[in-house]
Amino acid sequence: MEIRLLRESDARGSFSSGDDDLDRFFHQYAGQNQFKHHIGVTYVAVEGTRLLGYVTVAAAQLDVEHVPRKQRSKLPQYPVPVLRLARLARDKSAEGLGVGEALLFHVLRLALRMARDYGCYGVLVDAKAGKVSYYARYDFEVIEIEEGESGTRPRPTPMFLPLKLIIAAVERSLPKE
Amino acid sequence: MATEVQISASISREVKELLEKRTRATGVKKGHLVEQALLHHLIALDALPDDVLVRPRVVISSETAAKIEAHASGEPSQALVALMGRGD
Repeated sequence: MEIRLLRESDARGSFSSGDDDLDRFFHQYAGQNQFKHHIGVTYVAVEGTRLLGYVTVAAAQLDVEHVPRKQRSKLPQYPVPVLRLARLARDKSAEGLGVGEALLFHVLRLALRMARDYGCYGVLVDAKAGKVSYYARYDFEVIEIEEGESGTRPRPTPMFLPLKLIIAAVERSLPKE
Repeated sequence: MATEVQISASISREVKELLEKRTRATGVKKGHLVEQALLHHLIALDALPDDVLVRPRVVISSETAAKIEAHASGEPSQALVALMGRGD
């Protein structure tokens, strides 16, 4: 299985995850999003020409609403860059191949690269109903958003994974000398 | 449009009736209404609907920021360690 950028030549029409919203986005808008408006990027999991899954990400910023100085958290009082994972789907025929995990791994590696190249505080995911426990398993925590929630309906649950935890996980995964 | 051309298309009887009802009610010429409707439709096809846009600015409360900070100082789960250790 290879994870690569979506190409205009990819035949997306037959992709079916079983979720109408995810399929409609992939069929109709993932290309526009990426090739025309440049406001998000879709990566696909492929085997030959067969599309097994996709994930769409975009750069975003996390901003703490204005509060009196003494009530402020330690998070900087200016926007911090984050990577927003907007959509992740796997084709029904690819069940059991670990496509979702491979795509999530790819996104977390993108966040690490983004942190190194121009800054990233963590990964924000818009978790679909029924997927909250999946992301929670990988340390994403449910958060409340005051502004900037996803326009998708039914409303997804925003969850956040700080970059510090991703880095700690990478360090733990390295073989001990 | 500077130059007008004629097009022809077969449409359902129901849509034709709606079109005629509308032109009778408003006095707008049929050709003008068809042209405007087509234009709106083509622009809409080209635009991204609100629900597919990924909003770039996310505002959180100070309480949520504090919750994120506390979470960041914790330990990664075994599942996350295994995921990040999977290699390419």
